[in-house]
Amino acid sequence: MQNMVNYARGWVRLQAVGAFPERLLNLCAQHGVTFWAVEWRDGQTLALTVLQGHLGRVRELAPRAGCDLTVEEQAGVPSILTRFRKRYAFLLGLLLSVTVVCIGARFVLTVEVTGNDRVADAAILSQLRREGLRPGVYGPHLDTKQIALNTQLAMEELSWVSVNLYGTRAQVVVREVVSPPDLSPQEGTSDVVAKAGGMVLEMDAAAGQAKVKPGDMVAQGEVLISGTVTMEGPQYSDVPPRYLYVHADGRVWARTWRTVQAAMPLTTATKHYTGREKSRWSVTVLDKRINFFGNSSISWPEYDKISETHVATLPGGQVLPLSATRETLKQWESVPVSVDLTAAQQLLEEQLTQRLEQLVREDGQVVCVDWSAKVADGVLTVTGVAECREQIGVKK
Amino acid sequence: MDEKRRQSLLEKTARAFDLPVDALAGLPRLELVGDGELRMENHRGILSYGTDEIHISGGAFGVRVSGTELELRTMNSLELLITGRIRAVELI
Repeated sequence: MQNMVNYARGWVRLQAVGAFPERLLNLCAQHGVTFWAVEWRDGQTLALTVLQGHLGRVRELAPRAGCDLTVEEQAGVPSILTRFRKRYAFLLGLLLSVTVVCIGARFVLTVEVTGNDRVADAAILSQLRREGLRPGVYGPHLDTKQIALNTQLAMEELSWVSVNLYGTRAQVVVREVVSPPDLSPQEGTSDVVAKAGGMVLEMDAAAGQAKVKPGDMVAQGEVLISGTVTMEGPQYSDVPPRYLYVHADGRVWARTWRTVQAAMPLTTATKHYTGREKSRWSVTVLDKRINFFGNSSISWPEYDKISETHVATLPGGQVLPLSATRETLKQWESVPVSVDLTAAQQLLEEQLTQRLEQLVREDGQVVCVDWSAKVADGVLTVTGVAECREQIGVKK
Repeated sequence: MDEKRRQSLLEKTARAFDLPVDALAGLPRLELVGDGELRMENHRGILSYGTDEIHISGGAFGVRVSGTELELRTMNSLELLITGRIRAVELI
């Protein structure tokens, strides 16, 4: 340990030649010069090691002891630094590096968002950016409490926001609003009506009074389960019927027939790349974009722009505010192409099948579909009549 | 060592009152650790130096350290440290 300290402070190996070299040792001891490794070479010659910082003091004391000093060896950190004294480019680089580290450490380089589940990171980061917190901003000038408060007020989905600055890292901790449960209103009345016409197959009335029974045909919008429940009085009495008002609830399964239609022109335009390309590079440092191209205007009427961004990351996956982007511009022309009739019909049928599945929802079923197709004025029209089994009751 | 060495007034006073003589009268204090390390406080400087013998001034008397591979490891105005194989320490 002592050797490491001495190396850090630097040491000099000296040879003292004189009539009484031990006097130099005594003078050094009296004047607080730290020395070690004393070697008596002969009656008039002495070698010793002193700290580099004490060399000047030893040089002053040597004449008083009648000794001539010779520096034999120098080592340690100060000696290494002395060698770089005239290497101005190195010193300038060192100075710049230290400056960049000292100043750069005061800027926010990364913004981390934690604690969110439903709200996307990008939405929170965008709001934080509007409040002034983004990579590249000067950290000491940020009012973290105000940013957290403004973000919380601006985003109703968040119930609590905290912004913490740890050097170059800004950590944003959020808590999301817990949605209230979907409670049915206790007052008033509502019915269950048919969202589509069809034949009722099965009734499952949980609340309210059923107005239809299996086998009945119903039209769209017709009341299936009424929220007004009629309570008849006793038989042969004059008591008028009473009415109980509830929120009707239940499921009504029915066989329905749905018609879907889609059209497609038999001649369409497609992209044809001409082979002409341009590449443009840019670097984004601390949210500032630096373009490496002069003229950004493109004379081509139609082209695709493909961006490829390489983001610098640390070994742990930490994203740094440094990225290089390559934009490739590809010119294309619009070329008319005839569509294959069979393929077009198949494509439309697939699209219509998907639409039908969306209409009957997950618990419904498309039993069968009758397809028909016709071509008129260069347009293919496909029509599908589907028999479905679905739940048609909706609260209203 | 000269048996008739005169004691200083401070030394006499310290002895009379049972006070530590090295602290009050500045007499040398020697501490020998095994045969490899000798620490001396309140010295007056090196008189001669060699790997086999080192003479140290203690003020009223001198100290001769004999041995082999002796080395003055460190020294300041108050104390010094000698390492090596110490064979004898004599007051002269």
